Amino acid sequence: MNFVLRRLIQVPLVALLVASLCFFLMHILPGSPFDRERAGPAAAKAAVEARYHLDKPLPVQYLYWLSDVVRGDLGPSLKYRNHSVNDILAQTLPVSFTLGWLAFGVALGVGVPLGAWAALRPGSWGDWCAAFLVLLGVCVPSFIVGPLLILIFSLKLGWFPAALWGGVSNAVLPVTALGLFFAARVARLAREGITETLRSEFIMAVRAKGAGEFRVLTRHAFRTGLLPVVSYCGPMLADLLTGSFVIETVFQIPGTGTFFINAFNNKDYTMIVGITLLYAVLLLSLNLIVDLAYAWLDPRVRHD
Amino acid sequence: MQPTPTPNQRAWRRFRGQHRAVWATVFLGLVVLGSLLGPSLTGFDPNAGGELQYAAPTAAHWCGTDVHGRDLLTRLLVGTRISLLVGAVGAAVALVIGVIWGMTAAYVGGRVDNLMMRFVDVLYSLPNILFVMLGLITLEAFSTRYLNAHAPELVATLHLTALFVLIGAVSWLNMARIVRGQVLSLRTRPFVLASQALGAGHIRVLARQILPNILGVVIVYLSLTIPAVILYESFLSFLGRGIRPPQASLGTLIADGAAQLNPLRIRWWLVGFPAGLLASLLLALTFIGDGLRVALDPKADR
Repeated sequence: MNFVLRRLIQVPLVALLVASLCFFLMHILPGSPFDRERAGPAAAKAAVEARYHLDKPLPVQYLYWLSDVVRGDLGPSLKYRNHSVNDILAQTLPVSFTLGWLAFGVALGVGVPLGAWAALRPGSWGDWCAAFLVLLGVCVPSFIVGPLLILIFSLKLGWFPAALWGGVSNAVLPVTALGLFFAARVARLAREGITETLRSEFIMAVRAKGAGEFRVLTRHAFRTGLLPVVSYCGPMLADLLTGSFVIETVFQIPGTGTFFINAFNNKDYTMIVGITLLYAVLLLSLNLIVDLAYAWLDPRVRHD
Repeated sequence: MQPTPTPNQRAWRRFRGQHRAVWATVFLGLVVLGSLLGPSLTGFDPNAGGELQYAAPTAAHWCGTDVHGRDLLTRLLVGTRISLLVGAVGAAVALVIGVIWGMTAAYVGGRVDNLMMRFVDVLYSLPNILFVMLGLITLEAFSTRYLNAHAPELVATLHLTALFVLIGAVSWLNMARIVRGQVLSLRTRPFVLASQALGAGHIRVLARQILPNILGVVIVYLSLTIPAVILYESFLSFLGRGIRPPQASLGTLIADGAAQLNPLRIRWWLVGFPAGLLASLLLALTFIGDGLRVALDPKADR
């Protein structure tokens, strides 16, 4: 319990540290986000910079930012006037979350059974399928798979729309492209984990005491063998939920990932820092959950 | 009596026994050779436009031509050279930082170890695209301010070098963790303690006792880092932040080809060949990595 409490306090602290680091990195950058504006009177530029506190010394800017952030306000977007970062996240996150959770489902739903099958029947048809999927996922980047899926299923066959977001049919191709990429990694981890576990001594002991094969697998082999998958779930979900830039660009989906990358091109500091903070909070909390799940699944791990 | 083979000989024998890895090595060798010879092999200039726009593969242009009539095969070879270079340099940077960081943390231990690994954790929870983007943007601002006026020919070189170093600089975290784990378990082994008891200095212990023992793991992980780095560069190129035209890498070639995809005319060769080459290159590197893992596994003997 002590462990959980300590980690729970750590999460916001580390996240804030990460975001502060990011904040200072941003402000070391040369140039102002308003450089590209039409050259107006210097007074106008000064007024805009004053509005965003950019005329103050850096430590003061930091305090302004910090006091807003701890109250949950990520500040105004420097690119999209009259929109705060919170607004933009409120609009884009639901899209990225939907896409992310669906792809997460595909990754586990395809990856785990395939990996388990491959581990239980080495050299079988399923093993070949798993090996093929793994190679495909590792060697063919999603910016190839995306256009390929569009070409085949949308332009040639006309089964699904090529782009945009809205209905169920819109989601099929991007979720497939995104999910299969992660399913490949899950399948590889599951296969290695289960193969390793089946060789270990406690499985022999369970078999020796006369447990049925089904029980050996579900109660013992999978529980331990899938631990690598569990620990991969943390970073995987954090990546998926904050949006994949490639998939969102290829399928023209208005998600968070696109805004994140574009923020760099626009020097939209507040947006970059805001999304980085979001990513850090997600990753840290998910890793905490993963660690707790670990202790629950693996009797050898105890957090004292 | 046969002389007992040394561990290196045994590893080499195990590697040779894996046909997949051996063929992958041969393939990689051919690709490296082709990319080095490049234009002199095909007889075309990779950056000179031609009359023939969008020619499908023919006897003259084996892989067809692109929007400017440039020979795609030549561009593929030159692009592979850049991609391989990124992979090698990026992985080397990751290797040097990761091994030194991980070894120091584990060997010194205590508070230093804690501090160094918390630093790794913090970097881990930042999206690594953040650093690469920031580095590239800073460099861009620098080069528009100073270099464009004085030495414009340096801009491309500087961008390329920065790209290499930045990609390497974000890829060392896993290496550091793995090396640290290995060194932690080696640090208290009898042979290390014996060496220390004989009065060997820390540097000597690290270089002579510890480094040789983690070499296997490091090589295996390096073989996984190279394809990851190549993939990362192609991802950056897809974002428009990687290699700049007219230079090409496999990533920019794929991105250009994918931009040409439309339902009216399918110019499959523009995306098919670079994607196929990148995929088979990554495949070969993966096979070699797997082969090395088996060959260098200390548990494999017996």
